[in-house]
This record gives sequence, C-alpha cells and structure tokens, in this order.
Amino acid sequence: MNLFLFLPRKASQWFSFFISLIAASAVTFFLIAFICSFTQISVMFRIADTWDLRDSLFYTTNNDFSLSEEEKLAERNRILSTAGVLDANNVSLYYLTLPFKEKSFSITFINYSDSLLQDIRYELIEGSYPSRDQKNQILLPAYYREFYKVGDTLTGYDTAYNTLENTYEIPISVTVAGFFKEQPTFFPYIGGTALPLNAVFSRHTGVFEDGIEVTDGIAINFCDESGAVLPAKHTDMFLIRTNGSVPPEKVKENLSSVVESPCLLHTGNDMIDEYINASKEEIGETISLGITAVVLALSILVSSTVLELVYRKKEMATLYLCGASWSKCLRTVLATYILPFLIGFPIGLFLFAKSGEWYLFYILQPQLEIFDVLVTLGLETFFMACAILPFRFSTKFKTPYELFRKD
Amino acid sequence: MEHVIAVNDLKKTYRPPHQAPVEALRGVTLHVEAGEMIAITGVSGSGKSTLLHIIGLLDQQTDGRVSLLDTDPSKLSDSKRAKLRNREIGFVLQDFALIPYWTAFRNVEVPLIFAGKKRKERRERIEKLLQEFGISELAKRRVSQMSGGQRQRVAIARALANNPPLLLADEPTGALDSRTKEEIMEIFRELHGQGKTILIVTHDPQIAAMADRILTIRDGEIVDA
Repeated sequence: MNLFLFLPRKASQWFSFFISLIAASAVTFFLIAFICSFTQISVMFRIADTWDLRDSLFYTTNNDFSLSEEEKLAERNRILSTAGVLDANNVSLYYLTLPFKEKSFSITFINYSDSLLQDIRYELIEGSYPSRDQKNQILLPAYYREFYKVGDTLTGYDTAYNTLENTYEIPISVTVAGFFKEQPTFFPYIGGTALPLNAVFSRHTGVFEDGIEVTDGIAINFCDESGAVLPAKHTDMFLIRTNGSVPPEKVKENLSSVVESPCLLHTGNDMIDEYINASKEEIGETISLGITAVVLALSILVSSTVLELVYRKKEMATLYLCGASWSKCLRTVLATYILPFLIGFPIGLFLFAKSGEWYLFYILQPQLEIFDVLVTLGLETFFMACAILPFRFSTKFKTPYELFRKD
Repeated sequence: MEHVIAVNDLKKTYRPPHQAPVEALRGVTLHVEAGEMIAITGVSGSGKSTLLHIIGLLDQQTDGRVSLLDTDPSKLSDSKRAKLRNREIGFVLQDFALIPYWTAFRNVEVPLIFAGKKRKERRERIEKLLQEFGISELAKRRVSQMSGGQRQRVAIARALANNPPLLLADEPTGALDSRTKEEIMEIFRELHGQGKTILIVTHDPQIAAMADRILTIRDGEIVDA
C-alpha cells in the first residue's frame, strides 16, 4: 500500500512541509527541555521518598565550639539514646591519588557506614556492589569507564595528615567493582542554619581535570597494606534516622535538648521546604518551559492535526469512495502529515543536546536520557491522538461519506 | 438471471441534532439483475441519493436488508466493506469527486493502489483506460486544469479501474453542457453494452430514457417502476 500518496508536489506544499518540520523540531525541543528540567528539579523529592529522608533528621556538629572527641562521642551517644532515634550515621572520606592517563589524579571517595550502605544503593551501569568482606573495592562515576574497566586494580596512595601542615602517604591498591550512573550522590558535608536538601547531595563539582569533571567515588572497606582499616576523615554531619515510633517533629524537639547546636538540627521536611525556597529560579524555569511546551504542543500538534484532517476531508471522502476503509483513509492522509514530525523529532532532540554548549538555558543542564526521550515521544503521540481519535470514532455516529459530503 | 442487487424493505432515518428525525427511505424494495441499466428519478430530497449511497456501501440503512452480489454488507467489517466497494463498485458523481491537484493518472491510480495492484500493472491499466476514453494526452495534466467533460471522463476511468461489475452514477451529467452530456451518455451506453450493471440517479429524462427501467422515488418510497 502506498502510504505516501500525499507527499508534497507543489512549491506551496513543500513550504508547508518545511514549516511543519521547524514547528515539530520546536515542539520536541521544548517538550524534552521541560521533561528534563522537571526530572532534574524533582530528583530531590524522589530521593527523599526513596530513602525516607522525610522521616530523617540532619545534624551538624559545629566545629566552632571546638568540642573534644570525647564531647563529640558523648553528644552522639545522647542522640542515639533519644526516643525515636534508630541510628546516627556519619560519612567518612578518603582522598586517594590514583594513576590516570599516564599521570595521577586525586579523587575523593565517600565511605558510608554499614547500616547506611544497606539503604543507599546507587543505580549501577556496570559491575556490582561488592560484599563487605571484600577489601579495597571502589565504585566510580560512569564517565570513568572510558579509562578503567571493572576488575582493574589501581595502585596509589591515601593522603593523611600528621598535623594541619604535614601530610604523609599510605600506599593502597583498590579494585574497580563497578560504575554508577550519573546521579546525585549523598555527601553530607556542609551544614548550616538553613539547609536545603540538595546541599547534602553532590552532583556536579565544577572541578575539571583533563577535561573530566572530578566527582566522588564510593569506597568500600578500605584497608592499608597490612590489612588494618585505613583511617578516614569524618564529615561533621549526622544523618539521624528515626524508627517510626515517634513523629520526626517530636524527635527534633527531643533532640534539641540533647545536642550542642539545636539550630543546626533539621528534619527532612524542613530541608525539602528549604530546597523549594532555594530553587525558585529552577522551578520558575521549569514552569516557563512547561507552559511553552504545552502551548506549542496544543497549538501545533493538536490544532494543526485537526486542521489537516478538516482540510483533507474531501480527499478522505474520495479515498473512501475509491475503496479505502475509514482507518486507511486516516492513515493515508496522516502518513505524509506525520512525516515532518518524524524528521523533526530527532532534530529537536539534537538541538536540545547541543543547547548546553550554546548556554540557551539559565539553569537547566541539558541531558538526553532515554526515559525523558520516551516521555517526550509519548506526550507528542498523546497530543496527536487527542486530535485524531475524535475523527476516528466519529464514524460510530455518522458514516465518513455523510461526514464529508457536500450538502 | 441472478440479482446483482437485492434491496428489501429498506429504511433510512437521519437524526439531526436538535431536529426532528428525517425518514429518507421508507421501505424501498428493489431487485437489479446483472447487466441491467436502471434510472432512479425523483425530486430533490426524495431519497434517491441515499438509496445509491446505501447500495454503494457509503452509508448504512436503519432497517431492511441489502444484498450485493450475494453478500450481506451489514455483516462485514469496515475494511471488508471497503474491499467490496473497491473491487465491485465504481462511482461517478456530479461533482466528479476527484482530487483536483493530482494528475488524471494519479486519480485513476487510487482504486488500483487500494486493490494492491503492482506498479507496472497499474500503469498498463491506467494507460488503457485513458486511451479508451480519449484522454491519453491528459494523463499528466492536473484535474484542476481540465474541462468538466474531461474531468467526468477521468472519473469514469477511475470508476472502471478495477473493472467492477456495478457502476453507480449520481447525476453524472448534472454539471456538463449539452454536447459533453451527449458524449458521457454515449460512454454509459457503451458500458451498458459491455454488460455492466448501471444505476443512474438523474433528473434528466433524456438520461432516464436510456435505461432498461425507470424507478421514481417520492418521499422515500418507490412510486413508479
């Protein structure tokens, strides 16, 4: 069956075809930008739900008070013995220098506590999480796959401090256990009286070395050459998880009387509210993109599809007369009409992928994710279906010829 | 002789929104034998075009039975009805129902495409038809650049593309001058002579006179056969 009976033949039809192509690219561009922006802005809410952070609390041990290690330990014990508290987790860090492209580079490894590691599981794109009895395993961000592969053993050293000024090196060999997908990494390091949720996650460090953004890896069970656990540097923040017996707000109230700095104590919900307040520009950009995308999709996809079908009604009646079923009439007319949209879709995606280099967006980091592309395709199909389905089902009430006959 | 068309007690009621129902056909019974040429006459709004559309599978009856080449079309799916329409029926309408910005060749090709004919087979058939109706030189001309008579010849060529046994014509000469009308009438005479079964809806007594039988419809009923 020749589906493309209505391919452009005249100059005016070609002109219309190219206008449709531009419009289709624009619709795709704004829809994918909106979906991408929405995905990026909403990632914190999804993480908060996945890790039950709404029921957790964050507390920063304030260095300014110059608490001794004993006082810090005592404070942690008081936190643990407060009603409703399940555990109080702290994240430790290692600063490793590893061979890289015939040179070496420094990378920070985040070391989660055992209990936290059971709950924090990043999506791996290759390899697997090692078990706790395996020593010196690392998980690296995805783009390091270009330089290393799973199973590679890297020999480098950990930098430790004798004093504030003097450092020494501890040799260590680590094995690449896997690569995790680019995603926000839980890295509770910076505290404060107003603490948005995204402040305890790192995604882009903005630090580049040899053209690669240096972000954190994950350390699992680091030991030195003698097999002794490698000493780590601890962050100042605690993730305090609740056991569900007491509401988080009540736990906060209880903890306020046992910690040294109650103003540095936040519930997950406080931090989500703070995140919303701190992300007004991002949210504004997402809403603007959403409105533009929906208006464009409605005006171009829905209205032009309806107009196309109305404009082609005599052609459809003629095809029906010549022996096409009603579905075939619609398919024949729409096949050519959809063509610029099929071509415009990848063009729109390409323009969006390149827009990062052209700094078209204020905040959005343009990234093509397969899920976002599929959602965009689904939305475009939905908008077109909104225009087509009434025509398809109108024949339940009137015959096509009756719909389109002259009188 | 076998009945190409058998219509029994056919009724059609239109129900326009916010208006009283309109009974376009009120129990029409009609039997057409193979090779017959029948003229259906009547005033405007009498129901003759509705009858033609139902027989031609463009519309469906409210009640009654239609049998077309021993098939009950009401029991067929839309795609099977379309196939039957494509293979067994050719339409010639007053307004030609051609796609004006397509060439004559392209317009005649449409039923052949829907019949699944190969490109070579299509080209041969179209060339033969255009030659038969004396419009070979117009094959690559757009229909919008043709006269009424030329357009109607293209429409007849298209109606005959799949060599259907049944031709349905609705005022085929209504938009033509008297000389062109004579030419089109001659074509219908020839087609009748070739054994085609032809139903012509017409106001024109001259056209009706060509037919083997004349049926007159008034207020949705056959009053004179």
